Amino acid sequence: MRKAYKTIRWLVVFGGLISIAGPAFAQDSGPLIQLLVRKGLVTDQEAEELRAELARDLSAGVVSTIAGSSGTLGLRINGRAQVQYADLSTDVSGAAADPVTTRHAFLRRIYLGARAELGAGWGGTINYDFAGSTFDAAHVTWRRNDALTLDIGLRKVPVGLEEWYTSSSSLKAIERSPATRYFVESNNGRRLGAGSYRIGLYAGGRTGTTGPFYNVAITNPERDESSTGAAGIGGASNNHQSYWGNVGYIGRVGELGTGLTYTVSASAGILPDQGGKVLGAGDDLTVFNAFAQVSKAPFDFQAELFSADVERGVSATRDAQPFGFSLQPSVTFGQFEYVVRYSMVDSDGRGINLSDGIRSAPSGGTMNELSEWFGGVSYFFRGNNVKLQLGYVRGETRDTVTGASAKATTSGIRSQMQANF
Amino acid sequence: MKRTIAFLFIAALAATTASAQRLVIKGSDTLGARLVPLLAEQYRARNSGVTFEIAAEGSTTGISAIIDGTAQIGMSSRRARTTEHSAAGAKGVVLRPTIVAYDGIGVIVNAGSGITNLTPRQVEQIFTGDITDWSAVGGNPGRISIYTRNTSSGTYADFAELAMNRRDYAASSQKMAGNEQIVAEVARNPNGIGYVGLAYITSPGIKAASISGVQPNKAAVLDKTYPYARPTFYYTNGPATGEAERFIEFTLSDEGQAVVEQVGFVGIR
Repeated sequence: MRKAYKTIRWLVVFGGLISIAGPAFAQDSGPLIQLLVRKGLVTDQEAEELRAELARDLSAGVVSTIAGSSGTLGLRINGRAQVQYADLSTDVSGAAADPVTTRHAFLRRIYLGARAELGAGWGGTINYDFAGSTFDAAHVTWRRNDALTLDIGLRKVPVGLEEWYTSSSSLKAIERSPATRYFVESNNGRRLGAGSYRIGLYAGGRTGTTGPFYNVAITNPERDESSTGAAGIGGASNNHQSYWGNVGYIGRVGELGTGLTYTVSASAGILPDQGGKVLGAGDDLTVFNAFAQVSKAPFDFQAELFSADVERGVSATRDAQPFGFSLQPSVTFGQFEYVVRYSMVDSDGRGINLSDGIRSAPSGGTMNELSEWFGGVSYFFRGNNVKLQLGYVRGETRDTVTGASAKATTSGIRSQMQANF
Repeated sequence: MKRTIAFLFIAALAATTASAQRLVIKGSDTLGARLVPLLAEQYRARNSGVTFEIAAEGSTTGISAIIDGTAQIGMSSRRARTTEHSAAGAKGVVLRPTIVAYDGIGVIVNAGSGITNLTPRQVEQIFTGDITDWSAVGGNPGRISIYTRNTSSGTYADFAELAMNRRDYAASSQKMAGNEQIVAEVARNPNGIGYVGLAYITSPGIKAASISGVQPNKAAVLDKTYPYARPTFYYTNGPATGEAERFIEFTLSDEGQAVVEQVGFVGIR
């Protein structure tokens, strides 16, 4: 009788607490449920059913509290903060004065985004970069299965190992290589703007964690992720759509985690009116990319090749066929990852500045070729979510676009602290 | 017309019968590698005509399969998360757990290691990467190699909760597909450490460390003195029905629980 009384007393207290505190209480009820089990008032099985019921109540509360619409099944908030310091000096061979040194700390990326599941395969993604006042992603998604996912909106086109296949949070050498930057960063008369952010229709799929994958897209021809550009209605210079295609294969030899994994991929993009020295003159651009990545803990190796056919890319009478590549071995020891990268670009007479390929480097004038060495280390405080990166950069541009001898070099350090959540 | 109706009736009956006799079970490798296949074998011996499809690819896949309706039973070595209850609720699915066995997660080291006992704090520090050399916990100097389950595994999540204060695993930790792979790696590597279910702690080449003097064994799991003990579950969509209900009853029966003990788990009674 006494035991029954105690049982009833405990259950009344427990029930009362739940009814008062509701979902918030449910989240913290684990220790109390364990106490009830220890006292023999409920069995383990009854405790599990109680936990499940509380979890259901809690999940209903969470969704109704934070979801923007009643049909939102899941909502994930994400963010990224990258703070960078660069100290880069440029020496122009034979020049009376060199350009001003970069020696500054700045916000590289401040992302805040959200991804919602809306049921029946539908979803939405928004990611905004407050550091650059640009969109990183803004699209509607419909996923049928692994083999077919459609995105409509702004995202990156399927070109490039560093640019598309690798998140900016996972770049081993802090910044993308000169080869990537020259081919995908916005067209400035030298760089090509032949990749990265576009608004359009994207489709992609894969057969599983290993096996073949594909991506295709029809997009606006121009890269423009700014608020005004992304919302713009275009004009005569960009009224023709671009077409993108990518195929690849992910393979594994041995066990997951300890075996060797590799990825190979090839991409192409056809961009009407995006060639020439000035956009909108009716000159077309075609870009090609191939990459390979091989990993076997603790080693990793990445190789990437770009080439392009730029109609009237040099002058009104001459096309340009620039190419570039990068090679990047790395090794991880505990919480440290060491990386070396070599990258080069031959602009084929179109021209390239140090700052076109090496971010925040003082420009040394327009020349024909650029090469870069990077050596650095990452220290993982909390995996990739909190890490500090430090590296030494040395870049060199050579020869004028007309073939005369010239040289400019830039060297210095780059460091970045990242929090990813 | 009569023939058509008769044909359709027979076809529907055949389809219903075939469906009732095929039991799809997906989820935890801890349960699905040995225990459930053995239970299925014995169940089939007494219920001819029942066929099983068992896929052991991690607890997450088991709970997802119940939510998606692609399995009648989801095996899980962890509790369903709030987000999973939420996803289930959105589809009108009620995730119902049934405890089928208890398991202890044994921390294993190479058989030749001098380590015999660790404290919970040391275990946390090792698996999170705060400690990277055996000398820091009284062992012979040597860089610690950490072997864990992969991220879809319920054991991976459970161990982080039970032993690591929900902290992240060390970046250097190597993810393995299953218990057997972890045993194999730790047996090969004198500096290895990993965790496996009780059923695997007596494997050749490895030994289980006691935790603050408590050995991972049946008694310690049942009286809840071993800190890394947990229930394992079958998940169903509400109360199980049909063949799934009968298989769960068999699992919980004396006969089924004998199989549970036979493969190294701890029975629920």
